[in-house]
Amino acid sequence: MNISLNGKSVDTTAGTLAELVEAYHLSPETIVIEQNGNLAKKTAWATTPLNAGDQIEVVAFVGGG
Amino acid sequence: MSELVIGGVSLSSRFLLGTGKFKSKQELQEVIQRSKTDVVTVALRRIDIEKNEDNIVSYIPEGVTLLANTSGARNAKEAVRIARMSRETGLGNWVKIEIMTDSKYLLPDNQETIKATEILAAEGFVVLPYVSPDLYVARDLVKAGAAAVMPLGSLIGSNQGLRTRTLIEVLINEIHEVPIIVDAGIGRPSHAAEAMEIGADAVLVNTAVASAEHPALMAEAFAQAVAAGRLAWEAGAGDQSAIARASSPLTGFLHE
Repeated sequence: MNISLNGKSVDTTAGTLAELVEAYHLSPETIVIEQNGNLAKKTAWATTPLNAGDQIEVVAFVGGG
Repeated sequence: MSELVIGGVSLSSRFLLGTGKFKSKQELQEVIQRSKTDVVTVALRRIDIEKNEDNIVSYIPEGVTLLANTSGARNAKEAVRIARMSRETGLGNWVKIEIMTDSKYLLPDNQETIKATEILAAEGFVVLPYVSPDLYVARDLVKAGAAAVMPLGSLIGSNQGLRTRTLIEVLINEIHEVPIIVDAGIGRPSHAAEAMEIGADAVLVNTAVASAEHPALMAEAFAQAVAAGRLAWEAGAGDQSAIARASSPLTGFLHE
């Protein structure tokens, strides 16, 4: 299915947010996910379904003042 | 030297460090070590999904408090959204509110900052708002639950020093409930010492360190200047005079 991941249209077979994190080899400790504008609690990633058309934002800390 | 307490955390250094614009994460790591800082700011951004870069957090020593800024926020609502995302990292609940729409001067929107402070303080965040120095705004921030007030010394990244000195002195003299931390514009260790000498509780510096030829050395220079300035404030400087006042006795000259 197709989702929007950080503004890019991508195809994925991941069925949950946890599977998406795994598919892209992201480090769960440092990232935060928003799904359709809603903060996705880390503790619920494994049970949060990913749906076609979802807008997913993955963010992390970077240097800043 | 007396200690600084913010949000219930006792800090031994009064030098807060921004982590932007360093050449590499290795350089940043060395800078943090030389600065002996207890608090560093970080920003939240979209990650590059294709590149598996190591995160900045692994270069920040344990025990250093992360102060997540809300850079990119154009209003209170966006700042609140960024702060909540930052907290979800599980890396703490300190937030520097930074709200602006002007891209030339990067001046903070004081009114939106007060709104965001109120919301986030009520949600249990340790809120450090970055504002233009203004007494009424500072009072509103204290009422809203801010853990400190961070007035700008001059424009962000300008290295111009304490151009707003008089207004910052008003805050130092009138706001006693929370620390006053001079943020933005401090370009030289002497500027940092000046801020501390007039009674600021701490300073936050980024560009001046990152843009130095040897950032780690500059970090140490700032650490010493901040400590010296604080010590001078506690020592209480003598008054100034328009005319000379001899340091040596004025009696017993050899020609007498």
